[in-house]
Amino acid sequence: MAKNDEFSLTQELDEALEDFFSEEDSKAMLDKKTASAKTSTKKNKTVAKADDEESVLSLDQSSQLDVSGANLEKIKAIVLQLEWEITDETMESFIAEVEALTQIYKGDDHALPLLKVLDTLSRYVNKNKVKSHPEAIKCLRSVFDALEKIFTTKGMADKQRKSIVDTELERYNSLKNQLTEKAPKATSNIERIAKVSGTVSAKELKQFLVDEIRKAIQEEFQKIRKELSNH
Amino acid sequence: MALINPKKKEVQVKIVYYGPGRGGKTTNLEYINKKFKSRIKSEMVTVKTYNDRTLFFDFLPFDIGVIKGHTIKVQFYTVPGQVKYNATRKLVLRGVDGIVFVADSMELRREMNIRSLQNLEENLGSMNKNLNKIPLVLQYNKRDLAKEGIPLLSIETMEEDLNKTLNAPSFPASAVVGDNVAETMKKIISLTVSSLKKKLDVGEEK
Repeated sequence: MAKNDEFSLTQELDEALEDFFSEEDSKAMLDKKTASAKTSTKKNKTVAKADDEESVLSLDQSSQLDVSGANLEKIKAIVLQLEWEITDETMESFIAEVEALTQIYKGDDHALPLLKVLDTLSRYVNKNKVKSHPEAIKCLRSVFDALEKIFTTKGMADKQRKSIVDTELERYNSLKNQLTEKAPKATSNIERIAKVSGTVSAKELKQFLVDEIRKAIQEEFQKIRKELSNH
Repeated sequence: MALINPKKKEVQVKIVYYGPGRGGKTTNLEYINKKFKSRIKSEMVTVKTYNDRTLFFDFLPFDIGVIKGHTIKVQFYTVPGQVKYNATRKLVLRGVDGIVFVADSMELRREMNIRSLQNLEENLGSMNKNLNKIPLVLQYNKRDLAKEGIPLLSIETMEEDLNKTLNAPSFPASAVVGDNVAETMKKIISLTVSSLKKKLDVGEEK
């Protein structure tokens, strides 16, 4: 049993290492990942549709939203894909779809603010990728869900639409405040190494480096003194 | 001393590239960092002196993926090879889980290889660690120099000098060209993670 366990660990490990160090170029690797993410996205979408059938119309069923429905469908796929990975390719197509929707709904007082928020958030995520604030992806998803609800729920009253938009704008503003208030303190390489290393503290490392530099300077001075005295 | 975070299901291992100065330890990491840049997703930190030598150490962390439900994070360090920086080497060796010894294949460097390996053994000894028991891979670097007519030590001689009692896996390599650089790294990760698993199993049995 233990031997089987060991064998499967070695096998799993070897596979992971083969994958990581494969000669296959990284672009192709990314494409492969994106393809597998898309497959999962399709599965997720089927489940999500079944869950939401009661309150929200399926995009395919919505006859009045043929054009924007297609854009929404694409955005939805990308939003789900963001759970897996954030790539330039996915974010660029996200931004393009949002831009297309903005053109279609430029006169809509409810949709437009949400689309603007989506545009800003997607540009932020595109720039920062995995380093984006964790709330940014959640906010992006939430704004998209709200937008989808507004577009696809039949006979929604204006008051209800406004309330949905206000809630999302509030959420976005709160995120914006978090991002501007707490600009992360710049950390030095030493602090970064100490933080991730776990075996040496930053203080210890700094002190060590200071001592080493001091020693190196003293040695250099001694050499110079020696050379001067020889002349 | 690997760090295991059961909550996050993360295992962090520390691997150190050791060897004589000018042997190619930094070049090994630089090659990997450049070649697999898109997969590494983190920066390599190098502290160099004015003449391009490693003064303190290089540091390259990356994730290799999920194994048995745990994310494996590997941290690679190099040590400064110059004799005078032994204190730095000791510091970098603290908590090491696996070692790659990068030996220089040039005939002129034979003595330095042997001294550096002895120094590694001594430094580990001062931490109550045994070179025979720690996951170790030997790399005989700079094999490409043969084409330039530079006299190199034969692999047999290097095995005899450095690996006779250790019997560790070894690779002839060229860090500049990239020959066997990834293979060396794969082997040490594999040995280190397997050894860690064994240690954990023994711990659980107790």
